[in-house]
Amino acid sequence: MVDPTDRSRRLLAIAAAVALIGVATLAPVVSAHAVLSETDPQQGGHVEDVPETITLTYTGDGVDEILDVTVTGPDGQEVTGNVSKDGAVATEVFVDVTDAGEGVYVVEWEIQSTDTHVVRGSWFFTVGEAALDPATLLASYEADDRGGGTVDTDPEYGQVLPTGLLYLAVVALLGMPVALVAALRPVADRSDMPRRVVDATVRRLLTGAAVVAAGATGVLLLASVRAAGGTGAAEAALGSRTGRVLLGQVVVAAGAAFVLSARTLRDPADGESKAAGGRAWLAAAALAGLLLAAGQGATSHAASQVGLPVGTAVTLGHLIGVAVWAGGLFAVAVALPAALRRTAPGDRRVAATGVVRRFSALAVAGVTLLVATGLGLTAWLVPSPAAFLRTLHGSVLGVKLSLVVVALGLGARSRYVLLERLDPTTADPRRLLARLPGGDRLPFVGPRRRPDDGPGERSGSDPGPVRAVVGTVRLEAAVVVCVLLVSGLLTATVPGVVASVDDGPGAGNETVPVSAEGVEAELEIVPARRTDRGLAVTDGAPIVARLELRSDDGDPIELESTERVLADHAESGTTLDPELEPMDAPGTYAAVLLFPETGAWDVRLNVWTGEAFLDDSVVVHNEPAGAPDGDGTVQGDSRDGTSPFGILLQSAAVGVGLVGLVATGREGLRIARRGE
Amino acid sequence: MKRDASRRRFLATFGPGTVSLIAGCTGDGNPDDDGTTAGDGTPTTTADEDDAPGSDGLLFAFAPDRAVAINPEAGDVEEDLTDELDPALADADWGDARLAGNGRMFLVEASENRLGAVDLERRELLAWIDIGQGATHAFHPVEGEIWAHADDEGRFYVVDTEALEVIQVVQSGLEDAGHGKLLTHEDLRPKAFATNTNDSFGHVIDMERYERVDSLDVGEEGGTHYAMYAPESGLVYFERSGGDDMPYFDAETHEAVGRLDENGGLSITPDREKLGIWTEDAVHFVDATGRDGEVLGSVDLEGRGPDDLSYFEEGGTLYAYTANTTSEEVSVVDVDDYTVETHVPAGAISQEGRFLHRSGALGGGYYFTTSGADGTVPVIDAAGRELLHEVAVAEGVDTLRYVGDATGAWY
Repeated sequence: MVDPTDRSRRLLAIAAAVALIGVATLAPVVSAHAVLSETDPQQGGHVEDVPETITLTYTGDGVDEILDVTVTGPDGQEVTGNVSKDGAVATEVFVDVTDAGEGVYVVEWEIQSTDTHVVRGSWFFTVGEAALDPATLLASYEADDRGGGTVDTDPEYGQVLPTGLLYLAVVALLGMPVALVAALRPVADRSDMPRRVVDATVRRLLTGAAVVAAGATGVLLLASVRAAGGTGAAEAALGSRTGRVLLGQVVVAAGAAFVLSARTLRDPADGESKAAGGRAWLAAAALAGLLLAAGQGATSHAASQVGLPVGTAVTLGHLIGVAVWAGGLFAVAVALPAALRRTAPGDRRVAATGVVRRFSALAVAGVTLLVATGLGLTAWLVPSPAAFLRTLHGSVLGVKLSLVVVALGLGARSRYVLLERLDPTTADPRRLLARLPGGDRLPFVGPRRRPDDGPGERSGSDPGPVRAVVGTVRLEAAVVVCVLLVSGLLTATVPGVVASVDDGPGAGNETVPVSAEGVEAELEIVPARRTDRGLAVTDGAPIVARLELRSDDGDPIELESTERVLADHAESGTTLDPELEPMDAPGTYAAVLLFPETGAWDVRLNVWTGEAFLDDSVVVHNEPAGAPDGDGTVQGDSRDGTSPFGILLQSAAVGVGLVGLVATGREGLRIARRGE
Repeated sequence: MKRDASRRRFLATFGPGTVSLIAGCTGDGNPDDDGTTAGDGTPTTTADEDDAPGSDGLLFAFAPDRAVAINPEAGDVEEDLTDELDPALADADWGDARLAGNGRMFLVEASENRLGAVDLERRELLAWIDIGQGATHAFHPVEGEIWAHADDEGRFYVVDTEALEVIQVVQSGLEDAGHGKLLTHEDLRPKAFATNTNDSFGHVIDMERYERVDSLDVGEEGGTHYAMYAPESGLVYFERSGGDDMPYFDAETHEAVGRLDENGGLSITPDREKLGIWTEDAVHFVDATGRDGEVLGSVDLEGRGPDDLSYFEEGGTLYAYTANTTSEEVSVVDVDDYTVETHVPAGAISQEGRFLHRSGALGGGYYFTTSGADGTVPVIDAAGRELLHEVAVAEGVDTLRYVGDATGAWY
């Protein structure tokens, strides 16, 4: 009979899990990681006069801290004025600019995003007619080869190990108390397994975890201070949300380490009782783990993606799921063998069986929560197969998922194979299949084993099955440790949803072949991109048409007369005819086109080489900034909404959640019926 | 950027059986022979198919949004060629329509910087050929070539009339711009003279070497526009754009010979004896056989703004039609007596100053001109001095080409 109190708790837990899964699957991507999405003037754009103030607009939660913004004028001098943003976390950064005349102005920026990532990039804009010089523009575009929303996609390697260790510690602090209370202690209370050994072992592990957490958060806080330019630990820490969170984590971890260390040193293994004092250190550890996990959630990629509350909640749910599973694994892997060594041999099997069975029920719940929320997080952060395959984040996530599968496989082995060896009365799902017509002929479904089959199998003194289970659990725990350390790398890497996209007008160019007898020529349009409509450029950004001329022998061809590129806008009748100017490289010429109208432009060469007339043309679509087709997600459009791949992941999350809830319920009922 | 329609203004005609003038000619020196007709008027080009409609006797007319083939005798449009030329035709800026002597007609269309090649037998577009910017005039100075002048570049694009591609580019102007014309004559080849309204020079072009070889100084200011060669005297005359007088040079030695007080558009009579010069309100005739520049007579058109001359002979008397720009009439001038014989209604040409120029051509017994404001092509009985038809084409119609026994070329 199930205790009503337990039922209430279970219902509450299920409701919370359902809520988290629902949020993870239903919350749309509101905006992206803090990437430069818009600027004024436009990136690569052209203005007549120098603006007094330029604006940088970021996606996602925006900017936690402005690390640096520098504007360089046409003559290379710095023209940066006051740099500001509204509020502690803001999506817009304002920069005053000193007028330095006509030419190219380059803006270099570096900010700290709310997910702790330092993001940097550069972009440029041009002022006045003098700026429309092809050589100057080409140089600017080539220096800004990924556009203003440049995101440093290299992992922040300095964060990998401390973050991974912090995950390890958080999982331990959160999960071990749960395993102790729900799996180890109940079995110890009903068997010969010494509870004090169990408690003492877990307490030592928790103490170690708290110390690791304190060290890891301290390292991360120092790194954050260093990124802020070392302006003072307190100032930097309190000046940004990230810093405040890190500082809080340091305090919590240090406090937990102190409490647990004191408890461990005072009473290492003796005098443990079930009195209230025996729960205080457990509660302290669990609370510290919860607070640290909440801090991780607040500075997670997800929080930056979908907003602080939702992102934090889902990440926290994910960490809780991991903790329940992995933390329990750690506890079982270390505390159970230690306790069994002090347990009468004849009782070991029963004790081990009880712990494994109870832990398995916990693990099902934990895995359900972590997989469902994990799928939801993946839908936000790696929304396409391309992002999986082409980004470091996706690759690392693939490794992590592979390890998770291995660990789950080991867990399944423990639950469905080894547990039956420990206790043949354990219900075997294969027997369900055996009841179906022809089911017993299935290769993995043998004849039903009767409880009294197999001499020696049920002997409580046979250590083999216990060792097998313990060994498998330890192996599973080791794999999970690897998973958590890989998670540190994952956190330090730019999410695939950001790293997989192309940025705005500064990115890319397209080459158009030119055919003429006796001439090898190539026309390059910079910057440009291919869309489903063909060649496209961004309105307001001057483009450079670069022509390279070679004879059939490969010798550069020098033009002896003024030649041009003609651009015609049929809709308005507007025609542009910039002159092709010689570039430094022999046989290379370039012209600048700044389309005054959006729409299709017929761009044609009008070039007499002295031997041949080149009149090849290409249609270039001048599209407004933010056009949906291929304008790069710097403008934010392509990251709005959920991709089909993301929908698939979210649907899988719902499915996993439902199946997992049912499985968890069954496991719980089974335990309740056994009266364990 | 739309081109100012008023730039398309410099048109001239030539008389039958006389020199090849600015139009450029081929064949046996008969400027009327554009190669499409035999002496009896039958087409000389052989149709590939028996059912090819041919174009002999038709008048092609071009407006910004329409292109048609007119039957002048019937006074109506025989075929609408708009879609054939360009289904998206709109605001076209037509320049010259030139016959190339191989059964093809070449059309300058400046709004898209192109030259159209039309098969006259089939009345089908063969191709649009990309040329330079701002083209107005096209010439057929030598067999197998069309020279189209890109005014925004100051140079000629030489197009092979068979291969339909640009084979040469000749920089005639000193700078990379300027409206220009080309003067050729069988007596001068391979030499030609090119004008440019930005250059105060008349340029000498070697058409075999495709280059400018000399420049004749016409004055300190202004540029050059019309040019005319007088075979009897061996002189070449250059109208000065933005100047008060007109210099003339020895076409062989390039030496300056003299200057005329009259300065305007030029047209030589079929007998090559008189050089017609039209100014704002009169036509003057200068002795084209001498080197003194003697003015033989003038015809006062009372401010009608003559813009070209088309000569014809009747009963031993030489006459000329003048297309007038500031009148809704064309005038018939007695060139022997230097008097106005009559005026013939020819439709309105001025609409808020947009249609400031008019030219005409004689062919098949008719005189043709355009009425851009009315959107019509007046067809006048040349001998009867009577307006027969006003064929509706479209507003802004300003380019004509008659295929047949023509005594004029449309510039």
